[in-house]
Amino acid sequence: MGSARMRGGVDLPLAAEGFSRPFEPLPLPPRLILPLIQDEGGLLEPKVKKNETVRAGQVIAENPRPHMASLHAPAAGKVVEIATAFRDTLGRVVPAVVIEPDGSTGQPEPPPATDPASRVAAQGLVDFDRRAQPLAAKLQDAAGRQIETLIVNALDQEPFLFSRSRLIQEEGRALLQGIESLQKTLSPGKTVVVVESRAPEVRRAAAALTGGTTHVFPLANRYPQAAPRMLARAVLGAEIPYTAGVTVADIGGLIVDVEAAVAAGRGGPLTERYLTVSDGRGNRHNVRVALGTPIGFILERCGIALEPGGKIVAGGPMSGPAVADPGLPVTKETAGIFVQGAPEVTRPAEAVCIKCGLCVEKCPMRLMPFLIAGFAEKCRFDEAERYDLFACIECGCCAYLCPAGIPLLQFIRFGKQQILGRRKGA
Amino acid sequence: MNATEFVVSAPPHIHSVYSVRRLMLGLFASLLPVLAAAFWAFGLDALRVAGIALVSAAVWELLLQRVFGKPFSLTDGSAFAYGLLFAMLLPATAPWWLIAVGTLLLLLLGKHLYGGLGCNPFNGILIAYAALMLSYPGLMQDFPAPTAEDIMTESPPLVELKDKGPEDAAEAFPLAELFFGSHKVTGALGEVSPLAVLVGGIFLIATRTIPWVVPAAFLAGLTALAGLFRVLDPETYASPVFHLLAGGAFLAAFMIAPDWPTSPVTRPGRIVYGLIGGALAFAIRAWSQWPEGAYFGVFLASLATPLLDRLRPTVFGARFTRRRPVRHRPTGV
Repeated sequence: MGSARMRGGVDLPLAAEGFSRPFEPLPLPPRLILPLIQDEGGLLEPKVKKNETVRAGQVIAENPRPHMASLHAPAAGKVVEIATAFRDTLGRVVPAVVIEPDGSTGQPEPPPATDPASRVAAQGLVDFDRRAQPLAAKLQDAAGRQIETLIVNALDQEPFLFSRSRLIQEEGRALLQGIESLQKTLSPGKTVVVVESRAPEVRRAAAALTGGTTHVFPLANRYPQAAPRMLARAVLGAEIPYTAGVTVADIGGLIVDVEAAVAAGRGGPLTERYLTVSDGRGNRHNVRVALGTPIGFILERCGIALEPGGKIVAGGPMSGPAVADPGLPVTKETAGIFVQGAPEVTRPAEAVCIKCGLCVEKCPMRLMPFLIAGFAEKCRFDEAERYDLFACIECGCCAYLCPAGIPLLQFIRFGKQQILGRRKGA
Repeated sequence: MNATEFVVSAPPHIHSVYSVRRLMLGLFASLLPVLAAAFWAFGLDALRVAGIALVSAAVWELLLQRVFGKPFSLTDGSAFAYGLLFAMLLPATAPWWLIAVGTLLLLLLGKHLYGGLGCNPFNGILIAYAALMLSYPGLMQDFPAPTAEDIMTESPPLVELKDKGPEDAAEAFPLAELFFGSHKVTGALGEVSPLAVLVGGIFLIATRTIPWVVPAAFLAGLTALAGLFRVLDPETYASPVFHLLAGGAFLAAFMIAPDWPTSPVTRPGRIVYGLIGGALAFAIRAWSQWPEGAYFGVFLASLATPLLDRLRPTVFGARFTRRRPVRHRPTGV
């Protein structure tokens, strides 16, 4: 097993106390908002009507395509609205189901036991990567191939997020069951659980998972080590290109994040998330919340005040989207919550590139970010593509480091959008 | 929903400590030990030259900003860092007008004429140095006599090497004295103590202000070529260690060659750039009319920078080859 250290990336100071904060279960908010969209999966079709009473765990929306993920009511209550034009975290206008919880409890019906891919689709499981991918689709993709290594990703996606490292400590049993059920489905030669090597409590907790063909794989989590390509390289020792259609399965691996594995172990429908809520001032909370809980509600419960001129990020500080409205809900795509007060909001004065080469040195994909971003900025998209614009995994290390304060990632995204938009239009 | 207004912008939402000002401050700070060594060697004259360079650079910067319609940017520190670095290439006897002409050329041809910092194709310090060396070779090489009593020569080490050959030069300048600095040695302000330059250089590398690859490659290029010719003909060529410690090799390697805008951005490019610069430094020292070739070597190597930037690292996964599909395996229960 090759453990090729990731080249590039950034090493932010570890806020170690985040690893030891237990998950606080949060109460239900007055209203749960569930946008009917899934990354990499398109729109969902609502299966409930307005004013209908729903049970906890009842399917409220389904994806018309196979091997996607259904959406379930996180709590019993009444559907008070089916909004048609809800603006979600990423600014997409989508339908949304709004549920008013009524406090009643009830057991969700178990999903029908069929083949594993359909089962996890019915459970609504997704791999909680930066772009949440239906687990069913991943399993389906792997079904035709030989998966030698199942990689359970317990590395936190970004600095200031700790939920994965915490989950492995708290939900070891469910995780073990999840790993077993995935092993049954995939029959991998071995399973590795990748954990943060610099957190002793996490390594200790992970050690309990060792057994049979399951091993613990400690890795220093330099950002963006948790990104699939970087993780696959560290564990499998091979690099996969950005060519469309090439996945980790092509080098014999399948990555499932620890939260998805825990959900698979529980067996029921996916209705809650484990998230880290942190601000730039050292407040760190690990919380367990129902899907659809508004971000503002969570912040209030965590005692994190919102300031005018501050920033709310539905994700981590390096790559998460900033949101304008604290009323936006937690979805299956939310990696965490990061809040900044007005003084912490960075407004680097944009200077001219002085070609210091830091972005080139630290790009984990070994690109030339300053050139790509420069071409994209000047709308010279052909040249941007020639310098492998689409290989960018949008980790944001370049813009984080840039001494001139150039928003490189923004220019690169702009370039991608323009090129894709033109292709669609053509 | 909520009347409070929040900032929405593209990620990343946090920024590193790096800024252009920090880089410039780093360069400035790294020159302080060098200036201290110059003060030790040349007394107040060293401070005079550095002071005139700093003040004139600031004045030119303000004037040129006005002329070119650029916003006030004296605070980015580039005029001060480059001004002080330029002073390190001058003799302690440099008249005030020579320094002022130099800083004008530095900021005009090395910055503002091309649109500002980062847009300059050539290192302004080296443009100014080259222009003054060609125009006023006498003044630029008018080094004060060493103050020590037991000196064998009043010339700087590389001039001694050019005039009298490697044996006499080695005898006049023991290597330890060349390295630590000595009252027997004269030269430009930044050339009297490679030790002080090394301290500044280590600071630059430790604070990640410059990549270590460039100075390492420059010194390697110089050592390799000097070593080769030393082996071939020890009568004519000085030892590689003498070449490293005499003159401005360290100054060129640590402070001038890594200049951000004019050095390559990729690691392979930087290695080749450094090797070329170091090799040319030796070539100019050995076979041209100029005793000191380190600065010209860097200047010539920087002409190749646009070409060297084409030495790109291979993109992640570029060597991937798809496996043949494996036949379907039945899934578990």
